[in-house]
Amino acid sequence: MTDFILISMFLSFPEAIIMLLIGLKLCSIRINLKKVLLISFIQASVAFLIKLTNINFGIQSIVQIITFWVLIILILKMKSYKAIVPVLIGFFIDGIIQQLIISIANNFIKIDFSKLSSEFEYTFIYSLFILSTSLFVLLIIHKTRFIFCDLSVEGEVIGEQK
Amino acid sequence: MENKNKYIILTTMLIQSTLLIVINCTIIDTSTLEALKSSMPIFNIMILITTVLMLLSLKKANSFIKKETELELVKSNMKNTEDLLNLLRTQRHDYLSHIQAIESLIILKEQEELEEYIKGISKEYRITNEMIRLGNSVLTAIINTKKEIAEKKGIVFHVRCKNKVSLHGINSWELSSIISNLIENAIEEASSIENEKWIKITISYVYNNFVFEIENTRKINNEIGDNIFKPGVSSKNAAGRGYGLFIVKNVVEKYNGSIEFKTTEKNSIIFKVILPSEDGAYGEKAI
Repeated sequence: MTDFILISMFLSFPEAIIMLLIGLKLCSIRINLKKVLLISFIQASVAFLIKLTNINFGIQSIVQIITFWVLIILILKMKSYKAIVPVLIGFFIDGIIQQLIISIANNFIKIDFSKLSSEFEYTFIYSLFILSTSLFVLLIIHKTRFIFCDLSVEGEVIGEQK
Repeated sequence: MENKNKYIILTTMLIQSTLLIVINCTIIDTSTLEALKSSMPIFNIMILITTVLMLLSLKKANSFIKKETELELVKSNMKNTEDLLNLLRTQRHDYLSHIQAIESLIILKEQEELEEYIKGISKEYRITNEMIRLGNSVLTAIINTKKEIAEKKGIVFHVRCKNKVSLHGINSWELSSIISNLIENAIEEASSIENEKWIKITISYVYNNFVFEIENTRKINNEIGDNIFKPGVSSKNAAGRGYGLFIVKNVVEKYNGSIEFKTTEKNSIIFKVILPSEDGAYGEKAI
């Protein structure tokens, strides 16, 4: 239980922040930090609750995508068909990074995924790698100002402009 | 109105990619086959949703292409109307100076010069005086504009309209596309020959159908003749040609009409377009 709380506090929460920022940045949406923190905190709490239910990893991800989507609609007051875009982008990039880390851990360091998800030390290191890689991706997106799909130019006010 | 189509297409693509990643992660994470099987219903639902979205995206993409084509046709229609308006504006602008010149000649009592002057300008304004009015603003604009173009190329342009055209069921840009393409082809063909150059347009109303006949001099190549309505087939050997009649045929068939062509012994070709009139309102005589 303590492990779950620790993971949610120190890993799921920052992971949600980075995932949200990646999704929003790639859609050219700027929101203030308070809203980012609020969405990420609720998302991390949801992730924690989902982990407690011990359901399958894939279903956990789908539930998290849906909650993230609902949170963006409610907090950023975005249209539902627009809100899904940054959510899916964020999850997709996070998923790619996770796959990459798992592949490296599995093939080069020879650590099995079951160990990564069950043992706290391994989970912590694994999540730390994911976080740092995600942060690196976010920095690249920020520096290059790369935009995948501009949602801010459609005349709709999305969140608060900084 | 917001363009939801692009979001539907984008979301479909992203859901597909994310779903693949999620399935991949689940396979790696699952220790037993039973646990993996338990996730299958959810994944199947996701695949079903993605498939529906894919079909919807395809439909939206088709509708987008159709809208783009319509826009192009509207643009072409607008250009025809604009050309006619410009012609009328130019001539109207000249009226004032001509009236002033006539007034001066009357004051100066230059009878012979006045007669010459009036003869000259009446010849110049023949086009306006002979403005063909067909009861349909789009057709009027197209036919008068094309008539002027044809006459400038030395082509004799005859128009015979037995009844006012009342085609309310057909989009103006699509009607414009049909007639413009056929007349443009006729002008191109007629102008390519040395001797007799003429185009004859006949519009009639037969059994609740409007019949448009566009005849012009020049015998079409028999090899192309059978395939002339296929895309890319043209009597001119040039890239990007041969789509006009293909578009015409598609538009005509969309309105349950028909198009056919025949060559005549007098070295001419006739394109006959039959378009059903929905309301049957045609009674008035064309001017």
